[in-house]
Amino acid sequence: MEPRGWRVSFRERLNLSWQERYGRGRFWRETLYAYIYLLPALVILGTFTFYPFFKAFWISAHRYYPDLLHPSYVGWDNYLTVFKDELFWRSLWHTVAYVLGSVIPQLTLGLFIALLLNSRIRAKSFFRTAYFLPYVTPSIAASMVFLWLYDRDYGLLNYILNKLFHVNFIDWLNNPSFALPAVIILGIWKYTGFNVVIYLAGLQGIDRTYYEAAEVDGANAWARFRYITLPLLSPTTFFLFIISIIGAFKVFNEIYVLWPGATGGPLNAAMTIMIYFYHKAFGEYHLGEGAAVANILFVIIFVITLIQMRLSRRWVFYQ
Amino acid sequence: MRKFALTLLLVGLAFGIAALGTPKVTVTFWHAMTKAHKDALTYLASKFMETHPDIQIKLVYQGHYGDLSQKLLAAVLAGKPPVMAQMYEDWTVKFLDAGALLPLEPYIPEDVLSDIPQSLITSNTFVVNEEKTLVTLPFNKSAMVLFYNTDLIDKPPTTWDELLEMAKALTVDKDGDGKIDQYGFGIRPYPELFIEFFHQAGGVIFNEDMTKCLINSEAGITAMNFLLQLKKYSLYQSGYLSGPFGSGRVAMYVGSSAGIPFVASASAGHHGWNTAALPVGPANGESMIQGTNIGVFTLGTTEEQQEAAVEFAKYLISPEATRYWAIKTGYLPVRISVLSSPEWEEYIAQHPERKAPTEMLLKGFVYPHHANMYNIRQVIGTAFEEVMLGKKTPQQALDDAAKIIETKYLKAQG
Repeated sequence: MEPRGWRVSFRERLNLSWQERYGRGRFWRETLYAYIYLLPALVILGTFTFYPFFKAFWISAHRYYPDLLHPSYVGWDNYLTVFKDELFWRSLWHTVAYVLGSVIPQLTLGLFIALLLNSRIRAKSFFRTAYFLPYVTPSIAASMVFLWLYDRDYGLLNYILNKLFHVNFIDWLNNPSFALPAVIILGIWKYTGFNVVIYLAGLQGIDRTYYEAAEVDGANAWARFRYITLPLLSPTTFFLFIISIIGAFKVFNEIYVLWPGATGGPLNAAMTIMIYFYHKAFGEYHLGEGAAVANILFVIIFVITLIQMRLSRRWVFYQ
Repeated sequence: MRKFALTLLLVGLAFGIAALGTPKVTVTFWHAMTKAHKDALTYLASKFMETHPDIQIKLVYQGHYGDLSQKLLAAVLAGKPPVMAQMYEDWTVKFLDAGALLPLEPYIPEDVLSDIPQSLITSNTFVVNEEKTLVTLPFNKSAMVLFYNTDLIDKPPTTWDELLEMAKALTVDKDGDGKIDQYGFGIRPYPELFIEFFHQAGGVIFNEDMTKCLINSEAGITAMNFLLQLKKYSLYQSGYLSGPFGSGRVAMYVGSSAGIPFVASASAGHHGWNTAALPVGPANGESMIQGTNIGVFTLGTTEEQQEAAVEFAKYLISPEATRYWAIKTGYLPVRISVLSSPEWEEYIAQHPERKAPTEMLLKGFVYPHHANMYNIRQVIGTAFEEVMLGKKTPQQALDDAAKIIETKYLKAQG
């Protein structure tokens, strides 16, 4: 008997004449229902996603000063203004440094911890919860705690570093060289747990028979990890990579709390694209330039994601 | 069903009649006041409504100043701002340029105007149609003062030299572990702190017609050098200083009197404290006055609403209201007659920490207005940090800042 999947019905439909396909009342009724079911989602997406998306392009082509209420059309001028601003390039560089500095350790550390948790250890669910807790902690609250941890004279971090490694006290929050690392450490602490949990799910999805077969063939632990675990986890890694990079590009809350008033840290050393955007749009009230920054960020994330998608064909294996 | 419809109709009618009975003008007032400040504002609004039964004041808390700024911006763009709101001067310039604000000068009697301290008049005066006009009214005002630990200091310093000497003497390593446990002074690198010392050294930020930035003048160098000297005996941090002051890590700091409640709660149970007039610099001992003003929107509001809002704004700066406001919140009264009244003197006698801010108000100064003040302030802040962190010499940092401000923010229209 021939299997009747959607492919078959689709092929059948293609064979229908125009009359047969659209002439039936049932077709129109079904289409109508489909659109009615889609409507609520479309309205919400349209209002809060699509409209703002296109409006942002419109805003970025207008100048909101001197008269806020009567913006004038300036074409690409706002983009040029932003590109000419030295602080924009510095913020972009800080953002890239943050993305690389936090995402790669998050993934490696996440995988490492997930592997440990996947082995036979006691109190597995306790550790799983413990590692996931930072992720569900609101970033504002977590950053407030880190504000204390990073204190130069009384912070726990300096105390530990000093006691264990005899490191001189570091002025994490007021020394420009340590401002961005401070944000990166906070980012790693906060988001590694998410990677752990997703990796753990990925690990548990790998069929045990692969390992058994490998063991029969005499593969050692490293070979099993390298040739079975890693390739079979590649869809998970790919997903985490994209999600983490997009998230990291948008880092804002942590910096906003660590340095009150969105100052971007000492000498703007922790000024990222989002903080820069905040200054442009809501500090200076130069909405056009703000929207231009937001759109530039959109294009950057879009292109990076496209590249990742393209590259993924080479290293992501679906079972 | 019919019964239900009937009830609905009756209820509707009842409300309709009630509404007809007292035709009220509703005035929405967006603010950023919380806790005791909010309670005081609510009380003043209800007091006002008692005497003005035809006006309904609707107070809306919109989050902290940053939130309020964003929401006002969005509301103005949408053409629907509140009738009145708290606003800083740099926002005011933007709203005024958009033609969204009602200049309040014509509504304020001459005797009231002359009863407001000069610095506050200056900060509320903007250029409208090439003429200087009072646009907003002063609301929650604070002055820069010196906070000091009374367990360590009997007589607060009165000059820059004394300040430096005392800061030096109070910086100690108590347990001899090579780590300083108590700093004489505290520095948070925000632009207003530098501007305070800059002003006391005799500096002005711009020339008369605002085409040149004079931040790199002799006064700028003097102020920076003095702050560098002070930094040797200071806890230098980007966080607020009320915490370290309260715990005893910092013996003195210069900050806004709006911090009084925070200093009070941080110091409680640790040590005594008080405020003092700022130590006098080479040119003067004047103090920077900060805080928001009240503006009334013409955009999207009716004339009745505007008139009602003006009435409420006038009430808020009336002697009774501003006295109540000052006592309950710790902000400054905005009327000279209140500052010199016997009731206020009596209040000061009971609350010594309120004496210095009051004195400073009468010899206060304020930021000049410019549409790009937000950026200018940031450039000055960066220069301040560069010097404090030893990245640039005072001359270099201030020259660079002045150049950026002139080419980017003074020449270009903002």
